[in-house]
Amino acid sequence: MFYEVFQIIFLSLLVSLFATFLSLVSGIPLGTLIALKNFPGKKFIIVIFHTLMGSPPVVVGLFLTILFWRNGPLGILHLLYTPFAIVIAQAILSFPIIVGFTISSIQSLDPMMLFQLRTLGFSPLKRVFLIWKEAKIPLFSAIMAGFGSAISEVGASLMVGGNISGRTRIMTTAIVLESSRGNFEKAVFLAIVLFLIAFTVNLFLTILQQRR
Amino acid sequence: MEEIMRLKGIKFSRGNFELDIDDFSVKKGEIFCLLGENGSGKTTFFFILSLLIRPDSGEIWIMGKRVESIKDAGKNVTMVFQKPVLFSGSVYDNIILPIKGNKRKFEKDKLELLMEKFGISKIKEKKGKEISGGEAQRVCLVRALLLNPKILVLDEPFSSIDPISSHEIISEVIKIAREEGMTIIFSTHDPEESVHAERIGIMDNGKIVQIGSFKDIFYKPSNDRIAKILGSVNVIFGEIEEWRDGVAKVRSNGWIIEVVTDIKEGDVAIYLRPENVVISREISFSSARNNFKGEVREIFDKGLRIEIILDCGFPLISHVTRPSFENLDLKVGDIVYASFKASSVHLVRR
Repeated sequence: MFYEVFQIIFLSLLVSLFATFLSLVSGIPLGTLIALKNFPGKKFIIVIFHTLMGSPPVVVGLFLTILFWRNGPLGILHLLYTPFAIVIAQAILSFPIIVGFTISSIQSLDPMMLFQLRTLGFSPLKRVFLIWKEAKIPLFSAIMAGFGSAISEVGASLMVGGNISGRTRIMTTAIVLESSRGNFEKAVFLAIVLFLIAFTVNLFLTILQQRR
Repeated sequence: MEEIMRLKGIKFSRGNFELDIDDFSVKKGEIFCLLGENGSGKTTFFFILSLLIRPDSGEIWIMGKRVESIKDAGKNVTMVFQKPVLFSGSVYDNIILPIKGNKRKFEKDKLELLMEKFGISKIKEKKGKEISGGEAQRVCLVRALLLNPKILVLDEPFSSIDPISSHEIISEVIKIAREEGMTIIFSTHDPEESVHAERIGIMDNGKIVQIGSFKDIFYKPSNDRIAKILGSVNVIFGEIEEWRDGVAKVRSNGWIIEVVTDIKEGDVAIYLRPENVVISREISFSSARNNFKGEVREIFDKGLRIEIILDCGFPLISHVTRPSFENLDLKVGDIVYASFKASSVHLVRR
């Protein structure tokens, strides 16, 4: 029992951190690009991301299940019912949240800031890093929101992971299973652990965010 | 002097506004002032010549090379904006940010000297948010000067600094520019500030409508519109005859005007605000050192103030308040006495 629970917690954390990491490295640059560049259809793109921020996990789960199904377009990758499938599902769900928050973080800065950096002779890459530094506080909120959506997600993880004991069972899917079986003690224990993990990760991120 | 920058056939339009610069050039080491009302297009023009926005058409040449891309912004031209932009961190962090970021070398002594000259040594540890607008503007000036650009573009940089210290700051910026051989292009809507420039351009409705020396512009404005932009100003040219205890005697067309100044000799221009010229019926024995007898030539009602044009052997404009105008009971042709303090005059070297 202890080993099993430990495995669930460990897998859950690993999967969600990896998913958050994937959506960060793609979402923050994309959000920055959208915020800083002027192009036709910019507002439309922003609306799309805002809509996707509230994507129903089961819809994403369904879409990925079809994609990864044995005879599906990506069936040869044999990803269905693996932890990787859960990573992909969670990353897809947190990606628009990260992008959306990044866009508003960057857009809330003084628009003259970029002109100021250009006229002081900074290279494009340095300008982006300095802009991120200025938007540090809201960007950390983006990271926290992204991680929060990943670790708390259940619908898509259940569908693409299959909740297989010892392989793809994570905290949220385990809580669903145990409570449906009437094992409330185990379910409540997992729920408390889930909450504590979320608290610890957010505490760490908040310390980084508030550091001057 | 060799030409450092030239703009040809620049066109830029957004909405109703249209910028149209046929041919504009500045020479190396020149101090150029762009004078114009708010909304005349000064800022847009400066953004284009600082390579921060791309014009719809036209050519920009810097040091004999045609600029192909606005990616070169900040290479030779650095702009200081009207509204100061500071980043997180202390004042000191802000000043050395571009030096560090561009891996440029700088002398620590020069930095200390600049901070001392612009009165920010005491606030260097403070955060950007904790200082006043005027202080922030000085920080931006020092940050730009430390980079030592070939061309420094200043967009109404003295608007958030109080008028008295703004003159000191302009003089200081120009002194540094001369030492370093830097070219300065600055804009203002205050004609008084333009006295510091070698050439002045008047911008109106997106076009540069007149370019010339201070004398050309103030004595021979091309049209009424330009005269209106220049506003009511007393500009008197002369030569310092004598200087003693901080007061110079300036000779101008046979008249002597006393001015409190550190300048001890040479050709000078005197700038006198019309509201500092006091009119009385009797000769006044006030502390004012400059007293002239004159005839009232014209009277203009300007609402809160009344503008009176006097002929004292030279033209002199005075602004009086409505109550004192009614008290004086002035009519065209009256003989009156005009006086102004030696300390209310601003004097610059020509």
